[in-house]
Amino acid sequence: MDKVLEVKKLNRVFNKGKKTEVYALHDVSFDLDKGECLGIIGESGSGKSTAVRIITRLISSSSGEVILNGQNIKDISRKELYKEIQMVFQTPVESFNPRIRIGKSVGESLRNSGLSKEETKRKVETLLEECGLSKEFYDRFPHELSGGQCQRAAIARALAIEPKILVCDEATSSLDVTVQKEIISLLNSIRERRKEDISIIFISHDIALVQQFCDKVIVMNKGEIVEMGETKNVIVSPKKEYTKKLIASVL
Amino acid sequence: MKKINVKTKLIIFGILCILLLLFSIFSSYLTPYDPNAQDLSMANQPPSSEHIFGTDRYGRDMLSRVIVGSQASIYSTLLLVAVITVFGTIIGIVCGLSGKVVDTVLMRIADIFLAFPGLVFALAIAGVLGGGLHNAIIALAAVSWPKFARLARGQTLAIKEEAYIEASKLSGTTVIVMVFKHILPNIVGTLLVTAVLDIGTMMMELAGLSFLGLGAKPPIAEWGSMMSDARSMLETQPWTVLAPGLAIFVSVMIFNLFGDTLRDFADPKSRGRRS
Amino acid sequence: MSEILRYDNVSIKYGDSLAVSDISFALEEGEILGIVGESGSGKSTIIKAAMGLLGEGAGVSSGDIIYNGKSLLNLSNKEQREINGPNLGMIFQFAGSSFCPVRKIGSQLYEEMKEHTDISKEEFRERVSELLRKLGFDDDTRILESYPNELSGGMQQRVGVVAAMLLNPRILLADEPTSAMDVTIQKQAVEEMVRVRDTFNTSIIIVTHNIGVVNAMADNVLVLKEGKIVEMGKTKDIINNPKEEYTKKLMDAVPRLKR
Repeated sequence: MDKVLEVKKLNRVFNKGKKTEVYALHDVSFDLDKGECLGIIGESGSGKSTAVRIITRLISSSSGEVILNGQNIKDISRKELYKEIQMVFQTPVESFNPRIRIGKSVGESLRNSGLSKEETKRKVETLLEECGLSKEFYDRFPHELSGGQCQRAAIARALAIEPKILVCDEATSSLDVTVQKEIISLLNSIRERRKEDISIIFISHDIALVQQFCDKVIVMNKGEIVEMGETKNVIVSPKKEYTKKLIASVL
Repeated sequence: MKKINVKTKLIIFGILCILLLLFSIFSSYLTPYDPNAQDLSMANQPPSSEHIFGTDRYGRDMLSRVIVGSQASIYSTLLLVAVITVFGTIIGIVCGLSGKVVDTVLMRIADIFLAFPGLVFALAIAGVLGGGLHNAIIALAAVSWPKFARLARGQTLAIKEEAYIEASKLSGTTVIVMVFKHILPNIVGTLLVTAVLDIGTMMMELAGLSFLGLGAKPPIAEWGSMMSDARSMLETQPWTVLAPGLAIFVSVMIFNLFGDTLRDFADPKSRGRRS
Repeated sequence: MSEILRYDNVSIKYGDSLAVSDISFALEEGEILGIVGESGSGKSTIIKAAMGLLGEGAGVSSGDIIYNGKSLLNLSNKEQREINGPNLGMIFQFAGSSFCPVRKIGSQLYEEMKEHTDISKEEFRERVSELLRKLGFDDDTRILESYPNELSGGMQQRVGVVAAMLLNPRILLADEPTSAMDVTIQKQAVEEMVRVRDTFNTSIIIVTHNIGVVNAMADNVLVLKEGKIVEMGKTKDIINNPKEEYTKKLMDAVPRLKR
C-alpha cells in the first residue's frame, strides 16, 4: 500500500546536554498508509500528543523528519500542510471560539483558501449534515451545543478542505460513552465513504476503543515506541512487558 | 431590601457617564456667564444666588469656569486613557504572540517605566517637555502604558493556548486575521473594564500635574490648574478651591462606579450564567 | 449483614430545577455500591447530599437520608462535622490536590485526625503506620515524610484513600475517584478500595461513569439517568443482562477489550 506519511526518528528534547536532559520524544518512527486507521495508546506523559503536534507543526521537533506525500513538512508552507492534515481536539466546546458562530468556524479554512461566502456556506451546510448536524447549527454559538454536537462540528471543520490525514487527539475522551459511540460510528462512516482518501491517527488512552476502531496500533511509554503492529496482534498477544502490564490493567 | 441587580446599576451609571460627557460637550452653552470675563469689581465674591460658586480673584464666575473646565479635564483624561489602552494593547499582543527575544526586550522596557514611582516620573517627563495639557498627557501616557501592555500580554498568552486558536491555525488563518478575529474580541472586555476603571485615577493624576503647574496653562479653565491657582486662598476664599475639587470628586466617582459595575457585569460569576 | 445507610424517596433541587428525583436505595455493611450514569445524571449530587456538600441554593426537597437510624438532613454544622470523618469518609476525584502542597503528608494526616480525636503524636504514628501496612504500603516513613508532589499520581490517590480511612469511617463515599487516572493507576486505586472493604468491612459507594471500574469492584449497581433510577441490582446481572432499554444502550456503548 502507498504511504501517505512517514515519520523518521523524531526527537523532542528539553535541556539537551545538561544533567536534567529529558526526552519528551525519543527516536519515534512510524508510517501511515493510505486509508489506514492508526491508533496510538499510552498513559499520560507518554508522548503520544507530542508526536502528533509535531506532525501538525503546532510544536517543533529537536530532530527527525516528517515526510508527507514524499515531501518534508518543513519544506512546505503551513497553509499547504493544513490542506493535507487536520486535527480534532480533546475539548470539543473549547476548540471553538466562543464568540463566533459554529458555521463560520467550520468554514474558516474554506474562506482562507479563497472560496466565496456563498460557496462556503453551502459547503459548510453539506458538511454539517454529513456529520449529523442539521443546517440550523450553522448559526448557533458553541455554548449552545452539547459536547457531542461540538465534536461533530469539529469533525466537519477538520474535513472541510478534504485533508488526507485526520488526527484525533483523545477526541472522544471527554464525552459520555453513548456519545462516544455515535462519534466513532460517524468516523467509521467517513472512512467508508472516503476509503483511500482519508487516513486517521487516533490517539486514545482507551485501549478497548482503539481495539475496536483501529487497524494498527502503536504503544508508547515515556516518549518511546514500545510496540507497534496490527491491532489484533498487539492487543491480544503483546510481546513487550509494558504492553502486557498496560493491557492487564484494563478493567 | 432586595439588592439592585448589576444590569440596572450598569444602566444607571452608564446614563450618568453619558450625561457627564454630554454636559462637557455642550458645556460652553451651559455657562451662565462668560468664564473668561474678568470683572475686578466682583473679585473674590463668596457664593451667592448670582454666583452659586462665588467668583475668583479676577472676578470670573466660578460656576461657569467649573462647567467649561469639564471640557479640558474630561476630554484630556479620555484621550489619555484611549492612548494608553490602544498603545499598551498593541505592545501586549505583540509580546504575547512573538518569540522570546521581542517579548523580553519590550517587557524589560516596560519594567524600566514601572521601576519609578509613576507620578514622579511623569513630573520629570512633563518638566523636560515643558508645561501644557498635551505634554501632560504625553508624560502620563509614557508612564501608564506598561500596565495595559502587561495585561494584554497575559491575556494573549492565555488565549494562545486555547484549543480554538490551534484549530484556527490548522484552518490556515494568518496571524493578523487571528489577532482581529480570535484574540482581540476575547480580551477586549477585560481591557475595556480596566480602562474605564482607570479613568478616575488618570483624571486625578492629570489634575495633579496641572495642580503642580505642569498641565493646562491659564487662562484655560481646567480643574487641576484652577485648584492650583486658588490654593493660596484656601483659608480666605475656600470656594475657589472647593468648586473645582467637587467637580473632580463627582466625575471621578461616576467613572469609578461605572467601571466597578462594568467589571461586575463582565464577571459571569456575579451575574449567573446565561445559557 | 445489616443496613447502614438508606435513601428514602430522596429528591434534590438546585434552585428550582430537580436534579435528582425520588431516589430510594439501601446500603448494607461491607457492601460496595456503584452509581453509574452519564454527565448530568445527578450521580455526584446523590452522595454530596449525604455529606452536606450540596452547596448554596441546593438541597434535599423531599424524602430522607437515614444513617444508622438517624436522619442526615437538617444537621447543624457541628453535627455534620461529627458525622463526616469518623462515620462518612470521602474520596475525591483529585486526591493530590486535596492535600496542601507545602506541608508534609504526615502532618496533614495528623491534623485531620486531631480534629476528631484527642491523640498524641506517638499514638497517631502507630495507628497510621499500622493502617499503611494493612493497606499494603511497605515504606510508611517515606510516605509520611513526603510532600504531596513527591508522590506519583497513583500513590497520591492511594494516600487519599488512607486519609479517608484514617478515622475508620463506616462508609466511604467516592466521587469519580479514578476518572483522572491512567489505567495502570486506576487498577491500583480500585484494588486499594476493595482491600479497604475486605480489611475493615467498610461500605463503599462509588460514583463513576466508568463501567469497567464498577464491574471490577461493586457488588450492586444503580443506573441513573436524568436524576431517576433506571435500573438497580447485582453488578453481574446489570452488566450482562440489562433489562431496561437505557441500560442496554449504555452497556452496548462501552468498548470492551477482547483479549
